[in-house]
This record gives sequence, structure tokens and C-alpha cells, in this order.
Amino acid sequence: MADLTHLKQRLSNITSVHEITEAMQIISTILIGRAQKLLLYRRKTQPYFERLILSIDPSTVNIHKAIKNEWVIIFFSEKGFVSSFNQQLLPLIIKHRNNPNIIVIGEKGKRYCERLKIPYKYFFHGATSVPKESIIEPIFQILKEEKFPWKTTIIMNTYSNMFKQKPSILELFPTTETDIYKPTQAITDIDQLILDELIIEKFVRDRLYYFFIQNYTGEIGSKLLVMKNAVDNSEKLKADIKRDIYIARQTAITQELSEVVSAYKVLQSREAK
Amino acid sequence: MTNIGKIVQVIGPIIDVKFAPDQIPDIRNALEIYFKDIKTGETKKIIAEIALQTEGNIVKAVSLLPTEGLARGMDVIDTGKPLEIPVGRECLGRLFNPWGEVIDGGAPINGVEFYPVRRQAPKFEDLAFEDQIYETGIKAIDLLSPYVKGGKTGLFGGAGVGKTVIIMEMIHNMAKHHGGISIFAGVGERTREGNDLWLEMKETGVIDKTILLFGQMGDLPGSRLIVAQSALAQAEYFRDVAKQDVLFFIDNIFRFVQAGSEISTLLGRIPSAVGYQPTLDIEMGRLEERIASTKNGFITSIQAVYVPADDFTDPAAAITFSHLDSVTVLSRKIVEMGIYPAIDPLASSSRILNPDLVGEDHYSTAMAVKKMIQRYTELQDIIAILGISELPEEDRITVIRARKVRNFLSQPFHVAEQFTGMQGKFVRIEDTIKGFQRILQGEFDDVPEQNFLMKGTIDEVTK
Repeated sequence: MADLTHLKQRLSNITSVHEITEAMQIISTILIGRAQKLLLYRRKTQPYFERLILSIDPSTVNIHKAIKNEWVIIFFSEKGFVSSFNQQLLPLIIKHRNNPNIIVIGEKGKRYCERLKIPYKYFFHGATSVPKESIIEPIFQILKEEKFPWKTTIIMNTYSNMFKQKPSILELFPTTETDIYKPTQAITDIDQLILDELIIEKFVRDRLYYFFIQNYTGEIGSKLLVMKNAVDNSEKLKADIKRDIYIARQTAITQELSEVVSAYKVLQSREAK
Repeated sequence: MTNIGKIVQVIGPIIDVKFAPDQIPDIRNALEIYFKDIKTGETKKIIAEIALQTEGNIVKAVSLLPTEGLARGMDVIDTGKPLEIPVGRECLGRLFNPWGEVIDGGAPINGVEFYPVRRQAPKFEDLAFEDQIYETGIKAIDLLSPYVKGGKTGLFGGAGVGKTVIIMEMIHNMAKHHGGISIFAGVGERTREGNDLWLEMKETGVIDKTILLFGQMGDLPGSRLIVAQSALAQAEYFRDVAKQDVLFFIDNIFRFVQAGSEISTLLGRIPSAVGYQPTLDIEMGRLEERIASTKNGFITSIQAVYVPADDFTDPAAAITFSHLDSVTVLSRKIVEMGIYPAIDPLASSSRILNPDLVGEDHYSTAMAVKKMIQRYTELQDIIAILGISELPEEDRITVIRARKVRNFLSQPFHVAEQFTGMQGKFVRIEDTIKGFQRILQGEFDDVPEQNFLMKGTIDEVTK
């Protein structure tokens, strides 16, 4: 029989954890609603941007393709309690560990890279709330300075739904050229080359923002799932401990009653003698 | 002239006998009753021990044998002396019942000295202490609750957690690595286990240095109550007369308390806490005080203690704790994980786990192991709720290493070879310490935790 005080203390601790996880679950539910809405909107606009990049002059594209430096941007979660959200990325990262141009996004990623001794060139925090467009600015500036290297790999969890985030390797720019190239038909005073650059910039900004939103939604989705499981687990644990408490209490009561009754019986039999 | 009384009442194992007013025998005197069995026509003998004197020249005696066939008015012979058992070298290799009869089917023992079953504890000035480790070859014990040479050790655990297996393994290891005389008292346990032990000892050739006494489950409480005392009388002979060190095993001391409780109720005493006898302290104290090392020789005792309903606050378990130098606690939770021996590292302790006695290396390793497992235990609720992956890095490493430490505390036993299919291992203390130190330092962080299960030395983990 376990100690009643110890059991009560455990129950109190688990109840506290239960309350916290339940609150976190509610918050995650609210946040994921907002994030999913934004993600849905951005998903709809993505194909237009892809078509836009394919409409620019191939010679402009070739300038960027000529840059030999390969860049890798890795998206991790900013905070914990996300189950295997970060860990499932690790096998994809390992093969890039010798790349000198790694940008790590998310606090947890920084820790993972330090633990696995993966050198990174830049680190930026991820979104702690539904991301704003300005969040991409520092990374955009780095890529701009590097003249938008065409070979820029993105490693992140792509968001399918709340229960599924698939670890993926993506490319910042389209990898295959198609025959849908059409020079810009609009009449403008702007030089074609400058116009192409503007399109590329717009494309990169939008694409990076899309990744941020996707990563944030995935992080919140994972967190929601973890919290839901935690709430379920703590409820089960609470039920188990409550049962143990009832057993311990009932045993103590039975013990005490039987002692009182047996002592009374003995005294009664003596008196009778 | 023989002092003869008459049976006036028989209630279960309690026989009330009336003597002449001037011939009332002393408490603890042995009584003998001879009668003819109605069915078989054979003459039967019953031995009883006087426990109480009451009004009307009546004594209440506790029978050591079943009282079927007794009738009021039958003659009862007062032997004029307490129960005695044969002691000495001639008893080595033999099996006895609690009142000294040979039960191994061999020839009776003649021409030997007899000792009373109930004797006084040694005098204070004769006692001797030596704070030296008694190496058992069992990693978990040697590291966390080292046994004291000439000391008393308790193996606590609920039903079926492996107390008897550990005792049998220690008897095996003692025979191989220590030598010396050992005495085993089977108190209220399974007769089958006693038989297993006897056969095992005969096979390994240890039997020639051992005396076994059994008062098992099916025996009357009187028999179970005195078997430990009879065995102790044997041990005292070797300590005091032969001046030899003795290993003394009791399996199970709780049954001694239980037998006392049964008798107490039958004698009409008011039960004390949890229904135990009001004389629990003194009964246990008298027995435990006799298990002592003197200037003549050491009695190193290892006692299995059954813990009813796994409740360590039970008075029988609690009273035993206070007499011991080392405590090894077996846990049902660890049994459920399939880790054998199921020793609870946090609940087990030893008086000599002190840097001045066991050395700094041993002490610091044992403390580090306990600290790590303590932290792991604290985190278990959180792990159950959130999972191990959500722990901070430092705690995650602690948990991973603690699990390896926990698994490495398991060990294959020689006496369990037929069940585990693994060869038993005797691990030296220095190898045990080295092994745990290397795990704690993180040398095996990359090795899966399953590799640490049922291993002897640490070198076997990487094989």
C-alpha cells in the first residue's frame, strides 16, 4: 500500500500539470485557427508567383544560376513541446552539415545544431505569434547580398494538416524550366533587367514568408497535438492515482475498524468470564 | 519422579494441561504426549511448549505437531527442561525439523551435544564489530547496500519478487567464493523451495558445510515460531564452541512474526496494531539480539522479510528494519519491468555505505547512481504526460543514463540459469564500481539501453 500523503502530493502535482497543458491546448487551438487561415490564403496565391518567375527573361535567371554558392535555410520550431517536429528534420540536415552557408531559423534549431556540431552561418528567431511579413527581412537581405543564388535549399516540415507535418527538402526557386516562358508584355519605361530583378525580389519575399507561415502553422499543430496527448495522459494518470488513494484510504479505514472491533470483542469476552 | 498432567482442553494447536498444584512446570518447558492413533494403532508423540500459566493449575502449551487424536484426560509428560536440539559438526549436511529430528531420511544423530532452542543473547562485553564488506557478487547489492561481515541484512519484498532466489544465489556464491559454515532456517515458506535448496546444495557440494532446518507453510505456528531459534542455536554452537564464522540465512522472518501472531490470538491476548501480537517488539528483539557476532566468531545473517501488501509501514516490516545493518528492498514495479534482481536502488541502504569504510570511489559512485535514479523517478510523471522528447537536454541525458544504470543493475543468477537460459555471473566489487562509473560518465551514451540488461561486467555490454 502506497503512502497516502505521497499519493496526494503526486495528485496535486499532476493536477497542476493538467491545468497548464489544458490551457496550452486551448491557446494552441486558437492560434492554429488564425495560422491556417493565413496559410490557406498564401497557398492560393503561390501558383501565381511561380508563374511570374517563369515569365522573366532566361538570361536574367542565368545570372543567378551562375552563382556557385549553395545556401541552405533550415526551419525549426521556436519553442518546445512540439514532439518530433524538429527531430524528424535531423536526417535531412546531416548531409548538409559541411555546407558553410547554413541559415538556421528557430531557437530549437540553434540548440540542435550546437549539439550535433553543425556549423551555421546565420541564426534568426522563428515566429512566436502569427508571423508578419517583416519577419523575412534579415534573411531576404542576406540572399540579396549574395545575389539570390539559384541553388538555395529549404529544409522544413511541410504542413499537410494538424496531424501531419512532413519533413521535406524544397528549393527556393523553381528547378525545372518549362516552355511557358513568355516575356513581359506590359508596356513600361522600366528596363527589362530591372523589372526582372523586381520580380525575383517579390518572388523571394513571398516564398520566404510562405515558408515562415507554413513552419509556424506546423509548430502550432504539433504543439496542439502534444498538449492534447498530455491532457489525455494526465487525466489517465490522475484517475490511476485517485484509485490508489481510494484503496489506501479504504485499507486504513478497514484496518482501524477491525482493530477496534477485535479489541472490543476481546474485552467483552474477558468481562463475560 | 515424572511430572504428569492431564489434558483439559484442546483448541487447535493450544493444549490446556492441568498439573498438581505443587508441580506446575515452568513456562517454556517442553511437554510430551504419547497416544495411540485410533485408525493405525501406532503410538504417536506430540511435543508442545508451555506458553502460559493460568488459574486452576492449568498451563497453556503450544503444540508443534497437529493435535488430531488428542483427548481430554490424556497424560502429558513434563520433560522438566526446555526444547533442545542436537548441535555440532555431526549435524553438518543434515536436514532437521524445529525440534531437532532428522528429516532427510538418513540415520538419526546420536552422541552429540544438545542446546536449548531458546537461549540468551550474548553479553554486551562479548560483542564484536568489524566494518568490513561481505562481498555477495551481486552488483546491485554490493554497490548500493553492501552487506556487513558479521552484520544483519534484510531482504524486503512482497510476494513473488525474488527474495528466495537472491538468498539461494548468495548461498551459491558463498560456497564458491567464501567457504565457511552456513545455516539455513526455512520459516513458513514453501516446502518445495526447501527441497530445491537441498538438492541444489547436494549438486554443488555445499551441503557438507551446511545445516538446514525447516518449519514450513504447512506446519503448525508453534513449529514456525521456533525454527529460527533452533537454527540459531546451531549457529551459536559454531560461533561459541567451534569458534568459526557462520553465515545464517532465514527465509522468511515475517513468518516468525506471523506464527507469533497466530499463537497470541489463540492464547487470547488483545491484538495490537494491525492485529499483531502485543509482544511483537520483544519477540523480535529476543531473536535478533541473539544473531550477534562475538569475540569468538561472526554470525553474518541474511534474512528475507515478506512485506504484506507491499506496505513497508506494516509493523512486522517496520520492527525488522530497526535491527538491521543493511537493507535490500525488492520492488514489484521493477519486477514488472522484467529486471532481476528487482532491487530498489533508492529504498536499499547500508550502515557501511560511508566513504571511510567502503572507500571514496565506491561511496561517490553509489551516491551518483542513487541521485541519478532519484531524478529519473521525479521526472517519471512528466515523462508519462509529455514524453521524454520534451525534457530539457540535461534531464534527457539523465533519463537516458538512468535507464542504462537501472538495466545494468540486473544480473544473471547461477541458480536461475534454467529459467533465464543465461550463465550466472559473480561480479567483483571493483568491476561493479568501474562499470557504473563508466555509464555515469557517458561512455556508453550511444549503446542501446537493452544491451545493459542481464549483464555481468560492463565489458559484456559492448560485446
